[in-house]
Amino acid sequence: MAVKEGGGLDPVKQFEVKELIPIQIGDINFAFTNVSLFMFVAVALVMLLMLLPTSGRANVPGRWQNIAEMAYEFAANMLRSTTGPDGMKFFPLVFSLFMFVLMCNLLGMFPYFYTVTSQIVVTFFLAMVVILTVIIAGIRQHGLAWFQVFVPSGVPGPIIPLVSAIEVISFLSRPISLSVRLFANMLAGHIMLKVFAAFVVSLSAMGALGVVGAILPLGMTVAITALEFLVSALQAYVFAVLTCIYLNDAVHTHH
Amino acid sequence: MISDPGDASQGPDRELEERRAKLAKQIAAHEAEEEAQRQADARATATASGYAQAFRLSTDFVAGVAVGAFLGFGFDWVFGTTPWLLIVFLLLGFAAGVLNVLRSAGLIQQPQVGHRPRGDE
Amino acid sequence: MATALAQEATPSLAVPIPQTQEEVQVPIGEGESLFPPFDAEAWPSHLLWIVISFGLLYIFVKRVVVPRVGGILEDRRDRIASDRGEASRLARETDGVISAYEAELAAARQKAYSIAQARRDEIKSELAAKQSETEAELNKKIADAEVQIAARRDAALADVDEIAAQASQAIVEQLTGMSLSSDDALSAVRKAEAGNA
Repeated sequence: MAVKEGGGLDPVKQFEVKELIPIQIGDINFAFTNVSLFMFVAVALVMLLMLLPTSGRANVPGRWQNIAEMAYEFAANMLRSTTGPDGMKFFPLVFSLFMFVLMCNLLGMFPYFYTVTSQIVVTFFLAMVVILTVIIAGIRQHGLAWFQVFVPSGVPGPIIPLVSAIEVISFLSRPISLSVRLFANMLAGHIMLKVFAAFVVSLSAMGALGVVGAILPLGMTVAITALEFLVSALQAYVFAVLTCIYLNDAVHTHH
Repeated sequence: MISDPGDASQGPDRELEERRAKLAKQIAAHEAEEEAQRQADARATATASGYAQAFRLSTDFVAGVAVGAFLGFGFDWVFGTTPWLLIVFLLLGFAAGVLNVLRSAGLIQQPQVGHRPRGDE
Repeated sequence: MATALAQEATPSLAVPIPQTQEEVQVPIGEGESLFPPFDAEAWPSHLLWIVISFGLLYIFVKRVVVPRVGGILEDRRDRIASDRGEASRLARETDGVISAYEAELAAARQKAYSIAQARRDEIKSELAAKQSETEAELNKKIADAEVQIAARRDAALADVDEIAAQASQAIVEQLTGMSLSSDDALSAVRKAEAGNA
């Protein structure tokens, strides 16, 4: 095995952060990295997808306009069916989250592209956006009465603190669950993909016998790649659907 | 004298009739197609939300325990009560994790002030 | 280029023959960053740029995508609904026109039939009148002819008697040599005729 190969086969190397434009403010490093680059690539692609095909405002959509409209309708239906018409004011947020996560996940499937969602800070940031929106919207709509969600009705007095503590922890676990799920799925999937690919390369480097032996892992790599595409789309969907469910709590805590 | 107008109207009359029948058929087909599309959409959503539920179950429990442990550890660090709050909050976190799972599975309602069922529109 | 953030991961490039396990552990051994996603040193950068990029996307979606795509979809929904409404309205109108046309057609047919019927009746009665007129004329002629024939026959019969009387007169004269008056002969003929009858 050559040095070059060895470097390329490291399953963790794909998550390496590289500084592209160093920016230092005070003691903190705000460098523009390859992660930042792919965030903007994803954002730009979403913008292009939504902007270009719809510029004609055609009543009979072309193929690309159809895709843009399908994505829009999909997110709109998801939000409407979970929260009802009241929740539609959160549509820009849900749609942005869905498209951003989807685009980042799918971009990560291409070789040499960085999977932005395999960075826990990124997914945690997105989850915090959701949770803060839920809290702010809830308080704005119901005032301080919103905090009653932590005090379930019909619970006898003495154990209210206990139940409330559990409810608070449960609520706090939401952003953790939301971000860790996305992050772990993308990270694990990509590592697995790399490990199998590396296995194929090192086996076939061993000669004729190795090439024959590499057929099985190669098939596995293809299967995992297909699975990863599915997981990429599904995780974006799960993220968006849970956002809708959490937003529903903020909208529908009526007295 | 009698048959004249009849003969003249026979051609256009039949053609018109056919066109009207075709139009009615097309409208009916369009409506049926829309209905089928709605049902397919509903099915697809149901399948996808099934996957979503499965993915939820996988992390919701761990997240509850993790938050409990983190809070316990933090309070211990602040109040200097080292192992005790960690144990308490770990238990609470465990309970919260179970609650999360039961909620994800739809066995318990989402936390709400009133008794309004979730998802009614 | 690849400086501070990448430092911990880059050494793997320099390891000549990497044993996969050890290679991963090299950075851990160095203690600073174990794994890029958990490398807290890079977090401020990620946070800053995700806020900027995602914020950009959110504003874009809110300002451009929702009005535009939502507008397109709404337009289409309205258009389809109005088109379908128009189609059903036209269909109703067509039905009305067709039923009116059919009613008119039936009325016209009825009228045409009644006109034809009336004309037929007229012709028939005219025909009947003419026929009866002709028949009457014919009957009259026949009757006249019969009267004439009867008169002629009577005259002829009278002549026959006369001839028979003259013949019998001549026969009697020839046979007996007696002359027979013509009146006697006539009455004898009449008697014989009555006896024959």
